Amino acid sequence: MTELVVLLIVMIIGAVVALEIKDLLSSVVIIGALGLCLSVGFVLLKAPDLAMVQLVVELILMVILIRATVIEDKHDNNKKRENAYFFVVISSLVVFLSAAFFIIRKLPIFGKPIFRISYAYLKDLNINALGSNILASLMLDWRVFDVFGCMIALFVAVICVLLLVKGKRKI
Amino acid sequence: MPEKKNNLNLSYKSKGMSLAVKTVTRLSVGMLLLYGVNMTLHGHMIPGGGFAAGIFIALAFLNLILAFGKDPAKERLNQRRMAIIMGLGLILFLFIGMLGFGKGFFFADFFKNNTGFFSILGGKNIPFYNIAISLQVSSGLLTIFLCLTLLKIKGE
Repeated sequence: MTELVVLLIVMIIGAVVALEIKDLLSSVVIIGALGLCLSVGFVLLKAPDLAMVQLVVELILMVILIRATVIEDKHDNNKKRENAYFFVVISSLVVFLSAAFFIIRKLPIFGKPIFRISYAYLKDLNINALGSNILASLMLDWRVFDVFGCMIALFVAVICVLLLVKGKRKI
Repeated sequence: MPEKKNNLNLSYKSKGMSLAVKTVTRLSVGMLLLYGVNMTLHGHMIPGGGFAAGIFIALAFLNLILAFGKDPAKERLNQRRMAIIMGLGLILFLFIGMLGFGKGFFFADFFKNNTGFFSILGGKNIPFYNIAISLQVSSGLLTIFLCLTLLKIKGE
């Protein structure tokens, strides 16, 4: 568990640096490092599926962000408002941290009691008919309609991009 | 055209990246693509699945575009073909779901017993779903990236 705590501390420090640094490219690179830390954290929490997806999505996000930031490096910082921003950030931090301190102490321990829904999943799975990966079987056995909706969402997104970006040149 | 054969020809408007990047990309893209296909076909056995495999396949082509520049990609890729593959993935998914009506309801398993040839699959009809998902996700992500990089936005 200590590795996870160290990773989380590194991620928090990295996020603050990514917000405060002036150079946009360095900020994007730090965000990529944050994603890598998150995927290592998923591995430590024994979720290799999620770690793999996180890593690959982070790669694509990095490519798009670098393409967006390298060409135009604009800083629109208004110095008059900086003090107001600082005050808002500090006050919201104080409010959220104090609220989190009281709320997190009252949460039940993770995994106890087991949720009823996961009981139903585990009870009704036909173990003999599955592959060795129970997560994929869960995902495509119970939640297959969910995955179908996800695919339709991606389809609609692609069509919207095609409509918006249609220019003179054709691919 | 003689320009097409030599990737280092200076007649391209966007030359792409340096020689080292091109060489490494030429070696690594095949492996990346192979891993994506492996993850698609073995998605019910190993960590990952259709979605991650689709992203891997899209990333392999995206690497090629980044290393060799826009113009070679613009000559080879076809917007209509990509849209057809994307729709095919979605329709394939829906079709496999509709086949479940033979068993009683939508998205039902039709390989419940896993005997004979289909015992190789191990995970019911999950591999077929994975193939459909990876087709759709890879072509969809690649289309979005191509549109954002190669084409201009209407308002500009």
